[in-house]
Amino acid sequence: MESKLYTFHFRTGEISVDHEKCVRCSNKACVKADSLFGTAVLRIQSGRPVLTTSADDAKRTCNECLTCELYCQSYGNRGLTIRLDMFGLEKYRASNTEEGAH
Amino acid sequence: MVRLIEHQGKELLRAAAVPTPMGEVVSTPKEAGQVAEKLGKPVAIKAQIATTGRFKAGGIGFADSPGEAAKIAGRILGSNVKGFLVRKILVEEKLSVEKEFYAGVIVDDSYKVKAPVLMFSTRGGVDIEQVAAEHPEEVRRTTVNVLDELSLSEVEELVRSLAVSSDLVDRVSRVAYGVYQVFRKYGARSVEVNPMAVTSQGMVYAADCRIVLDESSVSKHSELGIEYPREIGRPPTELEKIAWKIEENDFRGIGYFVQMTTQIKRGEGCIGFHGIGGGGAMIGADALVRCGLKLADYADTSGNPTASKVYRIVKLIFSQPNIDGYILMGPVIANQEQWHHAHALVRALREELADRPNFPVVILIAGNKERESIEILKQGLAGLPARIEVYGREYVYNVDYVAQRMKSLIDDYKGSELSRRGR
Repeated sequence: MESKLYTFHFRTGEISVDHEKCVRCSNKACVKADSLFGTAVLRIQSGRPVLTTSADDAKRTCNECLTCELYCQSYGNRGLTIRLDMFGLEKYRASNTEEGAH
Repeated sequence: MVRLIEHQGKELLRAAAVPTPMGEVVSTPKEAGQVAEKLGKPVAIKAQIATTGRFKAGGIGFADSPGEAAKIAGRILGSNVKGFLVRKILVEEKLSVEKEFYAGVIVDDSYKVKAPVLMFSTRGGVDIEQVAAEHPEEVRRTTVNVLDELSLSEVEELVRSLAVSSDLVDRVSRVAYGVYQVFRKYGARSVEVNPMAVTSQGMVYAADCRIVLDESSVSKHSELGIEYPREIGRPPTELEKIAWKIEENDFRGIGYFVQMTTQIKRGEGCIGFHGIGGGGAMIGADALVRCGLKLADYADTSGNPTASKVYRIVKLIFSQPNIDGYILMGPVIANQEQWHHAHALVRALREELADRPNFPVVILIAGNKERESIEILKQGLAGLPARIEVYGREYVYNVDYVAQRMKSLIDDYKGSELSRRGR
């Protein structure tokens, strides 16, 4: 069964957290990274990362450092992902692929 | 900065009580003929594109009859003038001009002034810089204190200080005054009416205008419908439009991206260029060009942008087909937390380089949190199949070496690509 994701927005994207993975994570690298590089919008509650503040405040104060995802993927249990608004770039790349598109 | 098209500028001037020639914007030869008929006099037909030098480039014509207007409109519409496809033309009455003046407001950002300057000259129709150099006695200027309102009497005083006949002073001053009102209302970088035409009937018109707005003014004036507020002398590419969307409502640092060319052949040494720190980045760009490399784009992420903005700019750079390498050229001790760049690069390059064996990447990054940033990059990019070199502050004054490393990696890459493809 697909687990329900904990999601919240920042100004130009969205963060999704799979808490079922997080409870098995011994590192909580996302929160450590957010504390060092970000604006500490995350804290651990019952073994899971949650917002320290309201969703509206988090949207305003998150500095979009991207490190919660980066460090979760590198050192955590890969439960946190960031979706960034790309303002049409994916569509552009999809319609402009050729052998040298990259 | 964004330059308004002539008819947009004239609309703003009319709203500030500046007379402009009668006319309409149309998009077909038939409509052009109809407007000429309605005006009932000789007309000027002008391509509505955001560039100077339209007359010499064939973007402006004159007609004495509606039929001739339609014919000339047919020639201009759909043509390519200085890289712009002409979709609209302005058909307006041809003025019977006796004299040409100039009025303009610019921002003088020299440290002694830092304020708007209203300029007036009795020599219009030519570049004001040229007039100032060759006939300085025919140019007057006054610095405007932005905390006070500029008064009409101050403008009249400026106009009277030159050889303007007394019966024209009021009308000329009102045009110059309107120029300043537009400047102030729209947060412009410059507003110029050139020429300010005095007709044989003694009327004064803004015959042509050049209005440049600051990027930060654009979001405050959505009524202007500006899609791409940067003056690049040609229509924006799709990637440049996306770059502006990234920047449009996010003033956290700069994320600038403009394409130098879209005609890139694999193997010709055309690289994705990403600079930090305006002037320093340009010095780095020059060093790369001296090595025989070409720049596909000029990108800049300065002013402490978010990692998400830097990531998007890197993705834009890699969206250019056939680039032979990527360089982050930051030859400055940047006063921004460089680890945001480092994290953005790790995210973007992990995505972009996974299937680009031996792809050349050179990173020169210096400034706050530099040591940590280099460590983040080395750890985060380890294991990728590309050839990645990272340099720090020791190379800020040695951009030629960094550029040479880029060149060497590209030469190696070309060789490995050829053998990989079995050519």
